Amino acid sequence: MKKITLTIDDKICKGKEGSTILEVCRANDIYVPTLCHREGLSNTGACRMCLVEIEGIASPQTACSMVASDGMKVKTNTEKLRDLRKINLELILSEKPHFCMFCPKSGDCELQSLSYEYGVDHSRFNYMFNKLPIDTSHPYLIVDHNHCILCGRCIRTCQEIVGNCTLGFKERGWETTTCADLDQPLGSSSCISCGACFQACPTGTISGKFSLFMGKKEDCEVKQAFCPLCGQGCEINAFVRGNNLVRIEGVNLAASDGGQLCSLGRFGLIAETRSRLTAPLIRNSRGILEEVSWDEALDFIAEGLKPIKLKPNARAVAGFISSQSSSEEILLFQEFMGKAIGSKLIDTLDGNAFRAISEAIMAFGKKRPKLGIGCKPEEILQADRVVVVGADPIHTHPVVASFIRRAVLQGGKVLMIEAEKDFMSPWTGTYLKPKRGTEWLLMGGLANLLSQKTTTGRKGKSQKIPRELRDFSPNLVCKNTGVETEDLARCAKLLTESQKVVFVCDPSRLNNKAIISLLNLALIAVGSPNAPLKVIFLPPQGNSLAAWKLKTSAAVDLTAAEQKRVKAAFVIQGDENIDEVMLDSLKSMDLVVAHCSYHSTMDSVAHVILPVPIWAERKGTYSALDGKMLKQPIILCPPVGVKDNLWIMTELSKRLGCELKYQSPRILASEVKKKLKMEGLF
Amino acid sequence: MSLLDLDETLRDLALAGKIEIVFSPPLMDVKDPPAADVFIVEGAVSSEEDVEVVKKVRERCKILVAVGDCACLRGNLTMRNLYKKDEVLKCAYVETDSTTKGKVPSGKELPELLEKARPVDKIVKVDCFAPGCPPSPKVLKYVLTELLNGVIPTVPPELLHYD
Amino acid sequence: MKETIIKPVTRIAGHAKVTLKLDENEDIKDARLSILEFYGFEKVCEGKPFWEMPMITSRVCGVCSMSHQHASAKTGDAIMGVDIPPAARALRELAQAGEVLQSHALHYFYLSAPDFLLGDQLLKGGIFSIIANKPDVAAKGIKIRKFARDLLFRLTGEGTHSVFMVPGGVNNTLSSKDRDALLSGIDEVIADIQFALDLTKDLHLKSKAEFELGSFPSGYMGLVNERGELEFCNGKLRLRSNTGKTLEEFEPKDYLSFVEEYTEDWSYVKFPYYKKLGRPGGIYRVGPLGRLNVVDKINSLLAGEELKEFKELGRNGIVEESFYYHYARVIEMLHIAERIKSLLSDDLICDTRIRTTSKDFQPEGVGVVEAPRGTLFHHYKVDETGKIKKVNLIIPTTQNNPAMNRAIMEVAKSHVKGQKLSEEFLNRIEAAIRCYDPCLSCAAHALGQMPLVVELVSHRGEVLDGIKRG
Repeated sequence: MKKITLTIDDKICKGKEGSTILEVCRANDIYVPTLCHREGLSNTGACRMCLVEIEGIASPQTACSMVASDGMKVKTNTEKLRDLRKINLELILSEKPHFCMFCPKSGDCELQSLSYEYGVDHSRFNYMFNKLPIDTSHPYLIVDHNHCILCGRCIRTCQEIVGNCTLGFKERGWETTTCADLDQPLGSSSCISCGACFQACPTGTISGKFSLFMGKKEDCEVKQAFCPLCGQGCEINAFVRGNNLVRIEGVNLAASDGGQLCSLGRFGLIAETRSRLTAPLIRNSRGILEEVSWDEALDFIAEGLKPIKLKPNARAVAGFISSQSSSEEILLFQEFMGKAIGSKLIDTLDGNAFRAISEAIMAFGKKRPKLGIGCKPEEILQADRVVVVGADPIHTHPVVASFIRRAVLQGGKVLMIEAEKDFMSPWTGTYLKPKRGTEWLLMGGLANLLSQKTTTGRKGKSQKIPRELRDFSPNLVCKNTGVETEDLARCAKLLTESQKVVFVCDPSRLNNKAIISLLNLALIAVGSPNAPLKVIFLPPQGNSLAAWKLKTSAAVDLTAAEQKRVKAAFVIQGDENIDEVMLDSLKSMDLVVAHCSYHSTMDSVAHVILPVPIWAERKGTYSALDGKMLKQPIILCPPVGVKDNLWIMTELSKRLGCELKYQSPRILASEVKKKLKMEGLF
Repeated sequence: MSLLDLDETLRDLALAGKIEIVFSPPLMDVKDPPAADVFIVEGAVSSEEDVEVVKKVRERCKILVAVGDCACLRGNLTMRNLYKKDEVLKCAYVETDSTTKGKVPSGKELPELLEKARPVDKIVKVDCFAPGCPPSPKVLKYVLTELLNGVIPTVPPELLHYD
Repeated sequence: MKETIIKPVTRIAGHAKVTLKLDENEDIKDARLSILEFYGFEKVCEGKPFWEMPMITSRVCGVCSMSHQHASAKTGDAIMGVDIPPAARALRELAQAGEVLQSHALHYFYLSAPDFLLGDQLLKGGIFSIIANKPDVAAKGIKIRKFARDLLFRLTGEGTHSVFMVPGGVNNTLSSKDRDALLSGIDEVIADIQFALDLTKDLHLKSKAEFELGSFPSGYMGLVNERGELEFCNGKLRLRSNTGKTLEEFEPKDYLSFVEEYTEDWSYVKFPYYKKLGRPGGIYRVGPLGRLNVVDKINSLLAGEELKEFKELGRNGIVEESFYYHYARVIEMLHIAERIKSLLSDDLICDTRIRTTSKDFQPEGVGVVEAPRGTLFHHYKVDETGKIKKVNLIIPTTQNNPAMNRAIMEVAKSHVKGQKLSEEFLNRIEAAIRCYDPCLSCAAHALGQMPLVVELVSHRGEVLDGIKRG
């Protein structure tokens, strides 16, 4: 890229061709005040704070939107400019009822800081006193138009980073305000509650209901961490005051998500209203859970296990662990179950998803496709076609959904294949709705058609249909899936015409047959047998990939036949709900020990409940969707009475007469590092 | 009350004879504003009587200091500007749940309210502004110190605050 | 009718005007305390989210802003339908105690001390005369206020209107470092308050007549805890008659069944009365004298003993004379200081679980606390998303409004002879008002700046005497 040279405030400054004056200033540590500018967003020059004087141009120009050219002579801080900026601030302040004294943003407000900086201690203008509405309809956000300076940062964030385009302007001139959709209350609009607008807002216009008045940034300690909930691994800054979480913010321009986060990551903890478990519980003779001491609880478990373990049947005790747990906890649990309990019956709570994928890959035998972690979610942004199979990313993996939306805004198209409903609506271009259970057939049919049309490796010559796909004739497929032949043909054609196709699928909603079909389709779409497949499996939980890599998910069959043999179970629960099928199986056992943080459905089946820390209270390693290993620090101290899993399993092991090899967090962590460094997931 | 929060500073200044406070209704028993070097005014101009007093004060002093958000910018007292004067009065005296047979007070003893409450500089010239709700003791200390040094102060950015 | 005008009434927070109306015989027929400030608070809060109310209402007054924040936060708790965590309850009590201590100290040492410590010629200088003539008294006042402000600063981190209490709890914890620092200073504060108490008792012995200012029968109201003891933050409201009989004990949320307010043409402050007795028999008083008359015990060692002694001064444990407000105020200061010590000595105060939240809202909530000047009611009605539909505030000074008018009347009756008015007489009128430590900013829900006038008006409506100082 060509370099340019400017003179800014009599200083020689270098910049890249195509940069704005503001970018050149920032690259050279020259301060220019801004309000409507935000890194990562397009520039609009709305606020006029960044006015600079350019030699040869009569009136000052906005540095954020003016492209710098070689040889420009710029002044950023003359008396005239300072006066203009002061007038500008006084005008902004006079337009709306900016009452700082009870604004939740006071102290962190960019308008306020600039006003202090420019010494605005009164206004030469008469104040206007128009009362504007306050929208409190949203579960997490408040929009108070009385503080709005119409910078548009919220609108541009919602469009350019999140891709949801919920926010916009309405009316003109004096009457202009922001609005959601066609002026709906935010709570009933298309808003997905990510809160990115809240973070982008420079004033107190958009504020978080649960963070209101809980502390300014200067009152808080900032912990750099990441969100471990879905696997995207979004970087976060956690603002903590006196061991209370005040606010979670994304990191602007972060590779993981651009700083947008999502409603679960940003608001999940702060808006938590479930009551926390702070003491062990045992079900007494009347069937009611009552609080006991840790010693009592652990003794009870050890006693309860003795008769079960005495049976020479290693299948008597099962262990289930949530894939929200850290890699260290997962490894520890394996060791505990194997050594202290003597059982190989261990599975993650999302084991079915893992088995669907691994069995599918096994089916390819020697021709197994190169999966690994070949496709990062950001690649969706370069796709011209995204095929979403059996997934609801808007709710389960919101950041991935935002990439899909942005791909559409750039001209890409979405093909949705799902039996229940079109989860990506209204972003979907084409929707195929096969009958539940026939997704494999549909994708096989597409692959069949595609294989006829693609010119893999050989230009101009059509391919022979691979043997595996010969049974997927369009007529058969359409008869059994319920999809029209024309639709099937049209989709195949669209796929052929696409330059770059990315597949997004949710393995927890598909079986192995469907995944085999998907992989076939992806293989054909990618064109070359050696190129990495552009398939993104959305992990059911934040640390699923690590859990699967650590080989935690063996098949633990809780069918009727097995049920008689499995007498006890350990369930290390995360935030997920335990499904009805599992709850039913647990009900018939003699001893169920649950490690939980909140009261949940486990209250109805567990014999012992042990209170454990939530994710923000645990240090640990997690594997993100793109394979990156993320180290989570401790953000909050757990309440008194809560013990971590290492302590619990060590103590239990002692009572069961054995010693675990992982005695300390450090040993655990290094073991995890070793195991996760290995290549290949499946 | 912010002035009182200066506690020892005020006491030391008073004892050292550096300042003589001649009129301060909350603190002293002097009724009519006399001539003074400096007059510190707080609160917005909200009634006809307020207008009179502020004009009187401006005539009788050399330096007028407006203190507090209501006097300088936009404060609590100006919140009622968002509504019509009559709406506000009716709500307070007739519509609240605990009021029995309420009537908006209209006796001659009570001063006529202005349609809108205004900051002081919209009525008379102000020489120094010290906003804040309330202005911190640091701000007042700075202003007093500068005045004692014979300078008409401008509160610097690092001390300026609106909350 | 002739009228005497005292304008402004000084050494109170806010602006007031006293009008003394004479009849044909030139006896005082009527005494009116007019409040000239108006804020219009009830309307301006409409449409605001209830989470903002603690911040807005704390700015109604500079002296008792924490009490408003507290009552507002409690109202928010009721709207959210939550019980706040024990640590939050303790921290709120500590902050409330800090404010009461600060306010009582301000009133005693700065505002009312001139009344009973200085001769008339020095009264003019107010606090500055105290500093000059009784430096040891001034020093103690400054020290106690400084401790209270330090306590509040360590909790809230800032100045007068800083946010600390929020619906659902509080927003900051107390570190053990701060707790230890405060504990190390509390004993000296207790000693200083005892000095003030001894001073008051001494003066009482020397000039009992002075204390019999503004005596009349009335009811009394205040919060009591589950054991019927002096309480500032939680519990029920108790209303007692002038004979000491407990007339009512009710939950704050039921206040509308027991309190009603009237308006008058000549004042911006309303007139609350006990509903069952109406006007004028339902007159009641709040604040230090009100609270001490309503309880039989105080849950603090030293203050508890002082209460017993205090009760001896009245009939059936009820002390009626307005001037005893000052004495009662110092006893309260002592209790508050002991309570602060006891709260700081319990480890709960450093616990970090300080807030609960809820997403479901009740349509209304009531929050009541004992502010330094008396019982403070906040009542909000909200829509389903939490926006305010209606606000009702009943301020301590408003509840003392009928009593203040009555007190002036009593003083006027016993002093005026003919038309000539003396400085001394006017000082007594003002002193009577000042007993109630009125915060007229709050009472009119305003912040004011205009001085007040006292007028003496003849039965023909001409202004006779207008004592205008300066």
